[in-house]
Amino acid sequence: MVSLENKFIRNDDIAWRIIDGEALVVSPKSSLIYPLNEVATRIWELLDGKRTVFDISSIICDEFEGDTAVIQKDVVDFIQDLLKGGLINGM
Amino acid sequence: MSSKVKFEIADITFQFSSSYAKPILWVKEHYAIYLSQSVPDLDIHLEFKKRYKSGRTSSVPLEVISENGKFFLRSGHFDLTGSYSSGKVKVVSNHNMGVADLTRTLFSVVIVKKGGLLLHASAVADGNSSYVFCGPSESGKTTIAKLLQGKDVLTDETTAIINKDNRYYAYSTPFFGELGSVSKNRGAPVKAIFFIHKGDYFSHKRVCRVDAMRHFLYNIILSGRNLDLTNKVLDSVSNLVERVPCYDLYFKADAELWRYINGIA
Repeated sequence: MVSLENKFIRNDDIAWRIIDGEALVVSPKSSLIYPLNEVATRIWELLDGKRTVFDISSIICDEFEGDTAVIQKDVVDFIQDLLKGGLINGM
Repeated sequence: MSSKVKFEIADITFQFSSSYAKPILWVKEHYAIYLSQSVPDLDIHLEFKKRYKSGRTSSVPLEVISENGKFFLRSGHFDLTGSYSSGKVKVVSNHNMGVADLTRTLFSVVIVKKGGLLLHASAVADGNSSYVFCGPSESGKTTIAKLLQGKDVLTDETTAIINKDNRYYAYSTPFFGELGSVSKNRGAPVKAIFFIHKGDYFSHKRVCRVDAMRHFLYNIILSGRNLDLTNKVLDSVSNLVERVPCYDLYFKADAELWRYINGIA
């Protein structure tokens, strides 16, 4: 379960590149490819193990136009999905 | 007494040697147009031993482990140890190892290390250029190769893409599909790459770089699960989409195909 106080970091075993503002994240172990849109790419970049989920959500709210509550929920859901996929680790 | 054979695919030369003649004869028969006298990049010694019964099964996913310039591949059929720098490779297998499977597996790793890719794609050469038609099973790779048989079909199933002097070349491979082996072992600079889809009419659109990368990643043949190789693939693919125009192509099985493609690129 992801909460706003948690910190997460991208898994070292994952390969990724950003092309034209969109990330392609590849898990060599599962051979799965995760194409990320612009917002998801920004969240992915911010998952450095130093920022909390709340910090990341606030940055997304600053950088993108949208409802704060919706953005916060989407950020939590997305990070939850990344955690389930083994793409990030909790700190 | 050891038998040897050398063959070359996309500028990568393999030498197989073994005291057991059957795999060597198999290569001579099936890879006849790929036989070579070049200095081998990979010197592969095949040894055959019965496998200890409680070992792995063929359901274990193939894994490539790279450590200090050496690589290890373990599958249900063979254990392989190699060195990227010396090119020396030792394969221990039971007698039912498929040489084609081993070659394809090894080639898919080595081509990535050399900055290239092995793709699910047919390819056709026209003079000094080539066109690559990339897609999964049933997408129409063989159909396109058949429609373009008046041209120089490099392969109907598996295309090797390599980078020479910052120019990408498509090469034929012996890993063919329904159309069977091609008559020449050759490559040509890639003019355009098409991600193919069967349709009722012809249409196309230029694919943006990130979508092209995604298409490539879905269609790359890479045996093994390895971070280093995956990073190399991402670097090669991002370089490729910078340099070669990529298109989504919807096509119908019609003799007009070549005229349509020629009009695009």
